[in-house]
Amino acid sequence: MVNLRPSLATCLILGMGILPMMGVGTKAADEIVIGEIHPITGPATFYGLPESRGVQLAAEHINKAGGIKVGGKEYQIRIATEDDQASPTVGVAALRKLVSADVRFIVGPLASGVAPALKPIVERNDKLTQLIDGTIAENMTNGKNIFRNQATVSGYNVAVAELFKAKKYPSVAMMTDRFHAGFMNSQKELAGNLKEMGVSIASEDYYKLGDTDFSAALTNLRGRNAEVLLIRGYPAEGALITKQARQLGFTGQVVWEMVSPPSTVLKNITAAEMEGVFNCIPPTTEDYVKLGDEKAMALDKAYRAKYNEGPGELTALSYDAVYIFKAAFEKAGSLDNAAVNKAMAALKVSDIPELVTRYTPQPDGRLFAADGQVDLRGEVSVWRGEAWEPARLTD
Amino acid sequence: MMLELLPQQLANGLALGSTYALVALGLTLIFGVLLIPNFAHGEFYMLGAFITYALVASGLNFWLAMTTAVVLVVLIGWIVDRVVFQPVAAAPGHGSGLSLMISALAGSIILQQLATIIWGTEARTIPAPMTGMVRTSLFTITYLQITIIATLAVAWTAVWLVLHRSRLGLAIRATSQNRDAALLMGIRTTRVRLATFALGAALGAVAGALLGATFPIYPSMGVNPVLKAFVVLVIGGIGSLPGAIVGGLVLGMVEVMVAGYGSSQFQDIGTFLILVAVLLIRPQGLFGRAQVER
Amino acid sequence: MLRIDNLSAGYDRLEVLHAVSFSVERDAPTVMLGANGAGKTTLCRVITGLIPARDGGIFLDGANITRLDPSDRVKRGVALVPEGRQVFPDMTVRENLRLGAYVHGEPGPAEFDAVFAMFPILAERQNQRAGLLSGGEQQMLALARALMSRPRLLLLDEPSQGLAPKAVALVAETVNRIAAMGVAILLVEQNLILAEAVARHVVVLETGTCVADGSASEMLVSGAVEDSYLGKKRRH
Repeated sequence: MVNLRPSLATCLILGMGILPMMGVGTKAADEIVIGEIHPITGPATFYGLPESRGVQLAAEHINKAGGIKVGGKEYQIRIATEDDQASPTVGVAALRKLVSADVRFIVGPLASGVAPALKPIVERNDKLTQLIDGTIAENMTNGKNIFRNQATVSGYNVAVAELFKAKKYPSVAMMTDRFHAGFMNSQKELAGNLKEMGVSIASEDYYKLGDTDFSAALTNLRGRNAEVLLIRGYPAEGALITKQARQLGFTGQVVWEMVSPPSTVLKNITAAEMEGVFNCIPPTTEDYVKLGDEKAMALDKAYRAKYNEGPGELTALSYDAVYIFKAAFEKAGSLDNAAVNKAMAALKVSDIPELVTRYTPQPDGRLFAADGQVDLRGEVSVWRGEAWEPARLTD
Repeated sequence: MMLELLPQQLANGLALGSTYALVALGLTLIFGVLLIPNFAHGEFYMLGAFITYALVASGLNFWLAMTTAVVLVVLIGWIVDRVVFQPVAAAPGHGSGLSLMISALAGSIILQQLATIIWGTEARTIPAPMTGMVRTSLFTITYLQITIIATLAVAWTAVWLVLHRSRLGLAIRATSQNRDAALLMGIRTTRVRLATFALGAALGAVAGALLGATFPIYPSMGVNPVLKAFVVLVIGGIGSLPGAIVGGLVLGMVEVMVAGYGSSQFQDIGTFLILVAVLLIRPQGLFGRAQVER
Repeated sequence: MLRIDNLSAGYDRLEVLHAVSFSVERDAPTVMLGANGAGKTTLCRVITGLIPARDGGIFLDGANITRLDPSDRVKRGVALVPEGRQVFPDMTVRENLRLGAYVHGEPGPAEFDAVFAMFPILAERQNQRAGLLSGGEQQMLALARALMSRPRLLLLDEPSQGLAPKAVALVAETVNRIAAMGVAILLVEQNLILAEAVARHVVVLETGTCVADGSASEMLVSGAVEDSYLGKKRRH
């Protein structure tokens, strides 16, 4: 008597194991699979989901416009999405899953915690090319097979310096989230730069995510005559510090250095209290739209049509990332990783007219510096009414 | 240096300390009477904040929203007690401190996850029921901070009246001092349990509603305050209401002074310095009585 | 009055009482003798309902109270003066007495006067914290508190423990007065002086089993009890 049940179960289990691999792994002859790793769920969903959607949207647009031509052959792009929940362990598992399905081109991750966890794995694998569209921490790229089209903190700090130069502020009190690796690592350099410009550093205070009481440090501002309060971190604390500073009688200028969607800001502070606050970060998707940028407006429109809501702060970066890959494939004329890496490093900003984000070209016109990092500079925006808008510093 | 800022720093310390005391009050009650290290108190606090937020967002008046939140959180408190603590207390071994603590942590995590599913993780703040502040030449304090201090006083008075001027309070105090003897007096501990959890959860919800109008709210917002509240309990004496209040104020003052006259980086170190000092000099806490053997 | 019928009880996996049977009558104050660990305190806890009976029954005036919760037993007149007195240390003497009367509502002045007449020292100290009383005074408070519940059956678990001989004599006198009021007494003791002063009926418990049961005159006067079951327990 043969018992069929176990073998049936085995078949099912094997089948379930194989099916998803087939979904990701077996490429139709004319398909290029790009893997994307973003936090689709978890605490960073708010940034991650609009990034993932940006990647999807770009692939859709490219496919509709005829796909990618490599070596005289046309390919369609297929996106393999993995959720890293902004967690390093989940992120590593996601990358391994993509690698085992023979995905060789990766967009992401977003989180500053995930990127360093993936770096050693990607560096050692010559069948991977990674383009990071998140994290502003330094030293995440290598210029060989890891590139990034998001700014670094130094890019943010460019805008801070620009603001201080234009406004000739004499002094600054800095409050920095001490668990934000990017801001912490650049703290010394920024303070040094400001000092060189003749700005006196009234105080450097640190707090951590989730702190709720800043009254002691803010009270001291009064005795230190700081003209500017510079807050570097995340918007919930930024809003709280701004509120408490005003309550404690700080009348100077408040400057933020943080990606802070107006919807999040307004959940924590009233628009009136935000009026006139400066923010120094690279322009967001929304900023480009406000500037009347045609490509940004088209992206915004397509995004709204598909997802029924506006794009996220970083959607443009993720959208651009897919176009950067496309340009690299076409320039390489091959899907071999070594060739794509080489082409990527040699890409010029002018090679990719579809880019929404306005990168500053390297002196020789290339998009990436030798270390694989783009030059994306922060710009100063100001809170007016219900949202940020580009600030004019010349008045 | 900066001595002219001292009055303001004292006001800051008072405002901060009263938030600690408000959270600690409910925690010390449940710990003192039922011997439950209720980590889920942070989630009573969080739910008080979120429910108030949701109701205010749907157009309800803040105070009505807070009252509704208190009622709902009391119900949730009873469910938590029924589902999480009572089975452990009834199990063989009668719920050792460790098993109660672990179930408290489990309850806490489950409530956080529920809140995450309902409200997501994005931080938000309840629109303040009042704005504006009192400005004197010496210090500034917001109306909301004054309200929190006043609420602390009212809450403490109310709890004191319940405990010392009602038969239920008599039963609660008896149970907290000697559970077996209370049973021998014919006190039904289920009723004491319900009342204690109701009071504790209500205090947590009030704290959440008021502080949620001051601080951002998110599902894990209760974790830090509840840890601070445990520190307050150790400073003030476990189970002591005046201890919770004085402990909270002392902690708030010390933190502000350390941050104001030392460095903001050391704010938390101040917390633990005072904790160690109390444990060395007066291990039973400022208002605690040394345990007499029974 | 009280009938214990084949009663077994214990903690977790440990059975302490094995099929114990005896009775207590109103006119015959009963002393239960037994060495440490014989199960005397466990017996008090089962009768008052602090721990459940595993088998057998507890009958009060013929009514089965085995499954009632402690509160209902107090209402029916079962009161225990527990081992170690167990007063509420952070409450005043007066609050302790109020708690004694808890199942009957707030006690009136007459009820306070009645116990104060019996325990004048408590009247003096009524607003003091119970924890500040001396051992003898705490024992008086524990007795007074039990009386506030209007008991029909009074259990006393080693009330002589830690008391000076003078205080023990006072306890004996008080218990006899309570018995004279028509309250059935079950005194659990190791102290033979107190036992002899109170007992009309003696039960001996050894490792959870009833090993002897008889009148006080038979059992105590002969000296058999102390020799066989308690060892050299007589203290002066």
